[in-house]
Amino acid sequence: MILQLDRISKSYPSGEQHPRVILDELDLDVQPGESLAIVGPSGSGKTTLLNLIGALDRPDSGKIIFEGRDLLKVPDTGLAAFRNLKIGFVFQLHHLLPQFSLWENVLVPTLTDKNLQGAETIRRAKTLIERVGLSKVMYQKPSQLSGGECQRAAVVRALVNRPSLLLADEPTGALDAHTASQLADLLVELNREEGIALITVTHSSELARKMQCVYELVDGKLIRH
Amino acid sequence: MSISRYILKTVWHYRRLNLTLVLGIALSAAILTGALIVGDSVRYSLQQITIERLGKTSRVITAGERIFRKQLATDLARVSGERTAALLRANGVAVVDGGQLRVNQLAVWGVDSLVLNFAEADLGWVPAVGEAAINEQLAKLARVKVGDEILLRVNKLSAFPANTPFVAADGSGVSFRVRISRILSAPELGNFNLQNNQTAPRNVFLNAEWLNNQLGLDAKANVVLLDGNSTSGEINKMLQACWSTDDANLRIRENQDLNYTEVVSDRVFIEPELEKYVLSSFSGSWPVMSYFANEFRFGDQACPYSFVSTDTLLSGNQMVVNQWLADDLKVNVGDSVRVSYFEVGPLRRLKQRDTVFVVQRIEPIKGLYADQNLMPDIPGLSDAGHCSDWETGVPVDLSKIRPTDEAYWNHYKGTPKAFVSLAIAQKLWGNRFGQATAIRFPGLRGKELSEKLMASMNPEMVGFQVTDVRQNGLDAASHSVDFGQLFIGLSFFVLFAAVLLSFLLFKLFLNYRQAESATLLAMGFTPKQVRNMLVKESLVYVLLGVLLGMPFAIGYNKLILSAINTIWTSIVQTSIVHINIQFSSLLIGAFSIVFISILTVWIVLSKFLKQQKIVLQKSFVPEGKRTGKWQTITGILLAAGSVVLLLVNGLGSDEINPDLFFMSGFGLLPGLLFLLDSVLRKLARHSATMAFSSKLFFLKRVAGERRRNVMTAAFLSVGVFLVVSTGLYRKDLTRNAGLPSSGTGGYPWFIETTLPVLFDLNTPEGRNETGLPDSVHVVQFSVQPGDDASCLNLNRISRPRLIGFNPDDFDRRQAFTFATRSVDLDAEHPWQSLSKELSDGVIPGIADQTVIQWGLGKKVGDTLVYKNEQGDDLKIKLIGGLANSVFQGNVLIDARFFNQNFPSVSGSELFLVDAPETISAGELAESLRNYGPEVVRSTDRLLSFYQVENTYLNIFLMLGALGLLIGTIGLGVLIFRTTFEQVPQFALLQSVGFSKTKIYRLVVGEKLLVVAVAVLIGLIPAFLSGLPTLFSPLYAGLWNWLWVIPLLVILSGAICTLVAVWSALQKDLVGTLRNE
Repeated sequence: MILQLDRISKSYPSGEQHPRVILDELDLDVQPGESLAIVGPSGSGKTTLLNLIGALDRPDSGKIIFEGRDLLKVPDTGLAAFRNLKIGFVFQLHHLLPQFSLWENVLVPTLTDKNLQGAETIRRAKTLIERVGLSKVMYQKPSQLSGGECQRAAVVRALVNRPSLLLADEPTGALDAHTASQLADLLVELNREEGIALITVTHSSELARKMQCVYELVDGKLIRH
Repeated sequence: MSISRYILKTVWHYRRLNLTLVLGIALSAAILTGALIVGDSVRYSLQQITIERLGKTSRVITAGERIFRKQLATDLARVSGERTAALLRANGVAVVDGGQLRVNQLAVWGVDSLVLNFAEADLGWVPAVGEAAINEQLAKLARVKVGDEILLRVNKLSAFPANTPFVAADGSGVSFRVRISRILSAPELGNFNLQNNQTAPRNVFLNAEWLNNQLGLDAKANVVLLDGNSTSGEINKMLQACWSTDDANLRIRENQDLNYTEVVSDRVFIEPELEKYVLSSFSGSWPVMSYFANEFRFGDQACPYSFVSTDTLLSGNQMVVNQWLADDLKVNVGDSVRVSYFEVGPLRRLKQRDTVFVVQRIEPIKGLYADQNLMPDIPGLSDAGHCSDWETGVPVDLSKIRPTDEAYWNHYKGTPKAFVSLAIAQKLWGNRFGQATAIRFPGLRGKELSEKLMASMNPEMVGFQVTDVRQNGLDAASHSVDFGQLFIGLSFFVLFAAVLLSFLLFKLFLNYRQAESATLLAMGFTPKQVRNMLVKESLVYVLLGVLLGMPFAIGYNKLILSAINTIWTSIVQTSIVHINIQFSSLLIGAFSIVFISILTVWIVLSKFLKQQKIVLQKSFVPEGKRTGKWQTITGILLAAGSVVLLLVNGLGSDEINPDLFFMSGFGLLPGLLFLLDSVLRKLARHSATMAFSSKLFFLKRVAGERRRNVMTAAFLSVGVFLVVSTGLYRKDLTRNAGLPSSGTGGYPWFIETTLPVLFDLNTPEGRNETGLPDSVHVVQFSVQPGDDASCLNLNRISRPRLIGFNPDDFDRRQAFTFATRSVDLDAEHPWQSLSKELSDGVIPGIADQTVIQWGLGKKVGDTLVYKNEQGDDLKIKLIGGLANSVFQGNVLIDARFFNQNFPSVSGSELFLVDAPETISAGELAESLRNYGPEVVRSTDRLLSFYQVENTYLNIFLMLGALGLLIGTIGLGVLIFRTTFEQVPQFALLQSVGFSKTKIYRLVVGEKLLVVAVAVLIGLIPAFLSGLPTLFSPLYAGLWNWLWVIPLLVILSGAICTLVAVWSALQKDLVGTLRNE
């Protein structure tokens, strides 16, 4: 098992007497190479769940075990390294840095550690770029790319450090249907090819269908469909 | 909903966000309008001072050192129909409390009731016999009140110049006691002053008749006031119609025995212009020149102290002796007689000369040879009963006078004993006062001559001048130092910073409006409509800012005026500038800011909407078209040009020119900014093809914010440059004041006396007279009064005070430093250039560069035109400009030219004194006690000028610092804005594994790098422009500013950055990445 969420709870202050519970003793197990989609209405806590998995946030209670390590026991500095090496993020917006070329954007995650900047990483980045069909535009800046190209670049950026888990938060939300479909296919293919577990949060039933399993987040708990 | 409502609701909605924008505009409006009001206030105040100091006087007639009949004013009133008043003006010293307190440089005025025509005062204003009305300024300085008594010492006025050859010197003046009857306020004409100066004079008004009596005069005056509008030419004509020979100090007398009429002068010698005029106007006339010889000698025989005159029949070195002299010397026709005489130079310097004549004839003392009229009327000599009673202006050894000489005097008085040719007499004895002692006409034509002469002669020929004092004063006030412009200049950086800040804030504000604008465009609004709506909205902010700025403008103006008054209060003992707000200035200030702001808004909006359109049309903005090539070229050219300019003209020449250094520095600054822009462009374009390092990531992030970073650098570097370089150029004279090259010339003392010193203080006679020790060396200056053109006078001056002197001493010690030179200034011996007459009768002059540039509004090589005593134009070419010297306010010319043009000016009233440290001011003052000396340390005099200059510098520094503060506020706004805009990037970095600490370090490092580079870009040119201050003794050079200012800027930048980044990282970073 790559990830185990054990009785995870998360609530936010609501301004009323009781805090608003977003996640309520939620459990989830993810196997290596598995792909799953989390769906649910807006405000149900999908992104919150993804942020907890990606160690961008901490739960109020429960355990998050990633490859056997309890993430809640890892200090903040350790969490940054964890994210860097183990997690890849893809957001609804590509968040490419406008001043850098596609190639440079892809390499941003390698800047945290000199050990990551070796020839192997360069090779991998090139391979991934070729794989997603961006070789011809790799030295162009985000402003010169289409939305789909940017999002594909964001996927490469997420994968460049060979993470164990790819977290995608509405990755096709900002794309037209055709491009969204293409990106969905790409994610699934990469999930298979790279053997990286994929958790995607989406409103898109098309994308969700392409995952191995689909969970719905209802009242703070995941219900498998 | 109407568009107006839309706009107003939008303004209200964004009110908090735009408060800073409104404040920025208010600040700009306050600074610009405040500066304009300062200009109005200074001009208005100077005009008020002019009106106050002149009363109802419009024009003034003066005649240099000449005195004339008081009746002339009454006659002139009759002829002109204007109201007139005759005044007798003298210099004086007040001695209070038995000598405990002395107040020098008094203007003593003899007035009668006619002066009331010119003052807002009652009859009691005019002092009675033995009483004095004084002005408030003098009352304050002398610490006296009505009823107190003071002793006045007043310079002796006479018909002849005090240094006329053979006239005994009487330089110590006349002393008498007066009781203070009234203390006059400024509106009561208390500050009556004919000079264009805001300084309150030290006035004493006495009864004219009584003052005449005290000075041994009879109903004389030397100033006539007029209140009408007649032109100078008309007044001159009226003067011609009513003046008499007395007014020109001429007398016409007839000799019935010898059947001639002659014109003689009270001034002993007839002025050359007058002589020329009379000889050319009246045919048959001839000049006579009589002179006092020390000795006639033939072999062992000598005859002392006799007059020698001219005989038109003689030529060459021929001589006619009278029988008495022939017998006395035992000479015969053909014998050679040696005549010894004094050649009288400036300051009564005497040189005994000898000339040998050959006796042509011996004549009995009869007829022409017995004419006692040939002896000029020399007070103390011609009126002496006996030889032993002689009081002459030359040393006479009375022991040489024999009984036979006494007998001759008793019988023939000063009848000349010998006669020589006119040509040789004029050559040997002609002097600056004239070359004839009489002009004779055949026959008895006294009345006819008198009428014809006075009706035809131009009064200007004998020094009468009509001056339009009111118009000149008002012109000088209205063309005074333009404080409006000056303070706009001084406030330039604050203005620049405030406008730039407003521009920046507005640009940032538009970021909030992107979506709205895009929506409006999407809804079918045209870009023009959207722009007009935003312009109108901005206009509301601008107008609010301008309205808010107006009270601040008045406050800012008050602040500046109090600074100006502080400077001048200590110098002129009065607060001179009062607030005067012209509505036009408020309008100009407001409109200028509205115009600049709306123009800025328009430019920003045009660009903004273009971008919006592109976004809307999903067009692609091609990048990389602008390669920054021209920025690189411009940067290199500017930087290289500045360095070349510095090397070739700054360091290459013998003399350091601070202006060139400053220009070099100022040229280098934009050069470096262009280069920074170019480097950032290159960095931004640079793309990693393989490895991507953290360093490159860091630098490319900096380059990614190129526009903002260059703007920040421009903001800060200009501020750092201005403040640091201004600090470096602060002057300090106290350190090197002893050097001859300094502004003191190495003379520790600067002395001005109220009464002229008629003799040379460096001679044994001079030392004997004053008690000055031999260790003291004095350079003496003759003074032709004029307006003070120093920076202490705010009026625009056209004719500064002229001072004449012998430049040898300055040449010997290579005194002072020249800031500017013309080709006429000798490189090795600049001071000797003053002695060389230039072409077309133009004479060379030297002045302080600040006077040339600011006081006169001229440059080296320009010519000033004065009127000399003969009424002719005196053209003075400014051949050199001195670097900040004690001569600020004056124009220096050679004594020779001075004496030629102003022969009546006697003695010296200004002195530079070189004395050992042991000699105190008190000792010097005591030595010159009788002359009313103001003894000041030369450094103190310089400091009073620097006080003004340094105050301007301080204001500039203050405003520069304020600008820098605004710059750092701008920097803060930029840092905050940029940092918060980058929050999603931080979140992204965090998501890819950057820790918060790493992000913090990264962002702080970027911002501080920009601040450090900006500071460096400001510092390098500032250092360059400040180099002369390292080599010149004039500057104090606040070199510690080199690190203090950058440190403060970096510190404020660091604080802004740390707070901004810290606050940004406190935000919910992850939230910014949320999809929902």
